[in-house]
Amino acid sequence: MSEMRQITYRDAVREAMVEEMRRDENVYFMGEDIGAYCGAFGVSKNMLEEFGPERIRETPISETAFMGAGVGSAITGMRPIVELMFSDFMAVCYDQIINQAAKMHFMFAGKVNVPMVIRTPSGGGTGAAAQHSQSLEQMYLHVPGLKVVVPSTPYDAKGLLKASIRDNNTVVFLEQKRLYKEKGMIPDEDYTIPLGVADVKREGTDVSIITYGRMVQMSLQVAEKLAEEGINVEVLDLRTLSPLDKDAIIATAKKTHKVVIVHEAVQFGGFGGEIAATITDSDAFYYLDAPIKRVGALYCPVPFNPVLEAETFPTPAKIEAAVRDVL
Amino acid sequence: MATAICMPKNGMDMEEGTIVKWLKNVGDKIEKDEPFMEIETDKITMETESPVSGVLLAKLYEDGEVVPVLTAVGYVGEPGEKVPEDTGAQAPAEEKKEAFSPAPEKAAPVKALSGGNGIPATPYAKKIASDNGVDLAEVTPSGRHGEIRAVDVENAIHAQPKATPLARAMAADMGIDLKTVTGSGYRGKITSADLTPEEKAEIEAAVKEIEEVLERRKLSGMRKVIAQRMSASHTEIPNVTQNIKVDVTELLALRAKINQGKEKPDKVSVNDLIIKAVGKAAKEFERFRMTLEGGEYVVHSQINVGMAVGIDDGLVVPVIKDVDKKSLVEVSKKAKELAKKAREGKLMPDEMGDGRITISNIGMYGTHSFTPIINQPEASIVGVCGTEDELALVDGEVVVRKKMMICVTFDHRILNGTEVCEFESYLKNLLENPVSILI
Amino acid sequence: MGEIKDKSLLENKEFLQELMVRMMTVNKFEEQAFWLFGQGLVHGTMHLSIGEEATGVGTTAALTKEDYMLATHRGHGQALGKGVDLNSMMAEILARATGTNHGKGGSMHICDFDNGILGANGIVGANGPIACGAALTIKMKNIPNRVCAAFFGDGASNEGAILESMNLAAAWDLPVMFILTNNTYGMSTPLDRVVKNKDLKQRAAAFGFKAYECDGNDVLAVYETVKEAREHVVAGNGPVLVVEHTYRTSGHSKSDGNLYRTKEEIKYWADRNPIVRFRQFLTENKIFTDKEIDAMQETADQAIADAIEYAKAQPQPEVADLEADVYAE
Repeated sequence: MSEMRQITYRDAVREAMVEEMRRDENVYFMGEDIGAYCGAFGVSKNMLEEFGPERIRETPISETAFMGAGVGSAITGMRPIVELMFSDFMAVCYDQIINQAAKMHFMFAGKVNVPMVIRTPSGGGTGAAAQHSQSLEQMYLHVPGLKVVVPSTPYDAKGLLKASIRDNNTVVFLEQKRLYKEKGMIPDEDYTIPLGVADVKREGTDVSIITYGRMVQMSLQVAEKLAEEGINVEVLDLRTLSPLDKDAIIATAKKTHKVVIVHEAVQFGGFGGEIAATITDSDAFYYLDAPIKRVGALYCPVPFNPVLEAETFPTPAKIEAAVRDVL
Repeated sequence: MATAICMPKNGMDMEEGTIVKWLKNVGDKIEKDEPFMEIETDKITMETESPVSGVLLAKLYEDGEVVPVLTAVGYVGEPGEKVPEDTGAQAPAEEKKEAFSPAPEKAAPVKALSGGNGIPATPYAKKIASDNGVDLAEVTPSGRHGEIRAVDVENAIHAQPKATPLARAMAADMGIDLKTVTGSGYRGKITSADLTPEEKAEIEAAVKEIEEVLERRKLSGMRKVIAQRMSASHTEIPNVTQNIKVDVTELLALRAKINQGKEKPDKVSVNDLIIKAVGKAAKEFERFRMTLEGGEYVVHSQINVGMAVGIDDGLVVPVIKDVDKKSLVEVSKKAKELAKKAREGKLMPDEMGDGRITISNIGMYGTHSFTPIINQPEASIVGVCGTEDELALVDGEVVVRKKMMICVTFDHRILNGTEVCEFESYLKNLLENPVSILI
Repeated sequence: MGEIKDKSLLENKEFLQELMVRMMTVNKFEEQAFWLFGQGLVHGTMHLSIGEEATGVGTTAALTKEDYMLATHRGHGQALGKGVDLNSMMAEILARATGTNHGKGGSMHICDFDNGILGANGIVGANGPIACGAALTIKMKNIPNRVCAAFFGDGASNEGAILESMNLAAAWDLPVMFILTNNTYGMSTPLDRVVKNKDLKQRAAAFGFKAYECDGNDVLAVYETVKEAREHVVAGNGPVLVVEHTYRTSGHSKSDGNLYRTKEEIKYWADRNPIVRFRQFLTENKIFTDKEIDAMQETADQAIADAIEYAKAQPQPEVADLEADVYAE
């Protein structure tokens, strides 16, 4: 076993980028204010010094242009990592992601790949209000051709990002703003985590929480609390939403017979519906002993007021209530 | 215009129906949707409703007649209205639709097992109910919305007689209430075999045969007698066994001395010495030659000592009579003779009767102690065990001594414990000072 | 026809014939594709560029095989000019398994990566940003003598994507050639209805790079202009804008009723289409006789007839492949 060390989620993301840029000269990093400023969330600290302005490429505030440039360079031999300062800004450059990056491999008969990673901070809880707090994964997920990754720990963030950079498809890598400062253990050695493989973060027998991203940590807290009462909660972290580890979802549903789905994104029309349908479309349906419950954000733009904001998203109390509801 | 009322088609495969009974007579008023006849299909008996209001103008078929589906059986209309002459014709398509009572195929009573039935239950509850043959209608729901959950089905399974899924399914098919069946499976679980007891017995016997019996033999006459006498002795007699340990070092030494220079056939055995000693003791203690016959104690004068001899497929007890009057050598000789006869099956009846006390010697097997069984109607039996080396202090020195257990089983109706103690103590003394046996 | 800057071109009969045959091929290809459409052999829609043949053929004639090129939804001429295989392209129009896109792209998405065709794009203006990326690869990998040409139209010139990418290309000195084919109408909307300043080449000045302009119905003018502009780019001067003025005599798409213009207007331009004008030029300058040019037409017609025959014989794609083809290995 190699040595383990503690690292923040933010540093894990940077280490993944730095190591991959050292490994492969075709990998470069592009985005707004990623150089001297180190990015809006400080992820790219010291990267300009090491790699210089050609490979740490600061862009004009032209999301469409640089997202498209990512696509254009990817189809001609580069492996761009494109940072979108806030995931909400994808609305500004949606065409390049949805109509271009996602479709080229298929539309051009597999003659070209688009090996690009779109790294972007997602989610709320920062007081940034309606246009800087969204979880828009569902909008990517509905487009065949994109892979969507939402890491919940530093270990996963590094391993999944390295795998994403090496992947020959466009990967939307939704970093969790509120987790950047969270710490976790990672090994010193080079490692990747395959895309499309979920992870049971906590084994349990009574009820399954299926979740991803920031809600994994919150779900684990709830699980620990309920464990004191003898309620044994399993927490499944999907990690990759597309391709989706359907087998893991079906397995946990069959195991505990009760499922609560938690995500930070708006519940209505959210990915929870797809997870629930994955279960009910399969023979796991016959193993359900309660309706599948979803806990997602309220159907409203994220409000500015901190009390209102907190109540918009899932809370430990809401998750706990949902678990008790299905028990 | 008069409206035709038809034999309905109440299922994909229904081709005809029987009019069980008309519920209206010609001239009677009929309301729309009011039943006007009772019909029977091969599945079900049901009423058929009128598609329109009016008066029953005509019946084209009578009770008991079989009518093809969608065929007019009568007409409803205004009083006095004319009925179409082409009475056998089928109803026009549009009217057909109206004429049918919307009885779905599922109108036939469906046996409630699980699933369906409109009973709210979770999918998992339905699954385990189905797997275990539980009728959801008999499960008490605990769900928040009145739905049956898995735990409710599990409770129902436990509340019901325990049965295997196959047994449940069979019971349901055979119409057997499991509560009336005794389970023979693990912890009383009802198995499919319990539902057919005769078959079950046969199966069980066959299984046992296969599993346990190597060979089946008839009891020999002797075995039968032995068995009867053994069980009679064991059940009739309040028997007690008392053991006493005897130092036989000297006895063995004496025997060796006696046998010095003798040929094998003439050698005296330990058993011979014990027979002689027991005879001596029996002479000393009157109650040890007593028998219980009817309601009386019978005290005998003869000192007849029996000796149990194991033979092929049995056990016999030849008796040496008048032991007290015989020398050791005579006893020895007689014992050998009787044992030989016993093994050869040549004992005469008088050689086995009138015993007063019996010796059962299994010392040659090294048995430490045992509980011999009394040879009725005698009062006691003396069990002789194997000799064992023991360390003992003799004159302040540790020496090896030969020890042997004497186990006396006695009939507590004839003897009591202290008497046996005294007897055993006397016997012990004889054996430990063996020269006194000979005197 | 305008004045020829490089007189030696007039000596290069082979090249001139090639230009003519290509324009005729493009024209015949579209005419026949449209006819097949009417026969129900082509489904979906397609956008014809009849009347614009000189822009696609003239521009691509000035590019190398290795140069990258991004075509528009009206890109048949651009793709054929750049060298895509005629048979494969016709098979794609008929949605066959052996088409350029294996039947998954169709008229709007013809691609040929071996010939630098990074795909035709159905989204107006989307080529600009992608061209920046391809040019960025050229720059970062220091590939000499290579450009990326992005076709777009007068309609697309008002897309933010084009304006953003013009700025980006300029800011990063990227070897992008913005090829603006001004065919007079954005679908049905004439340019003067949607811009204040109709002089589109002035856009480049705003971003700090050089613009070129030419008669887009004069194939030699187009060729020479693009050639000059390309030299400017490969010299390391960053991007250029080339505005080529032309006229689409065909409708926008199959559903176009031509309600926004008169038959007289269409006839006026049809009489002045690039093929007519180039024939006139070649005969007037006695480079080719009418008979020779008729033979060229026959060559083009035969090539298209062969392509149709080939395409019709090609298999339909397998349905089973669909989901497996979404992701790259």
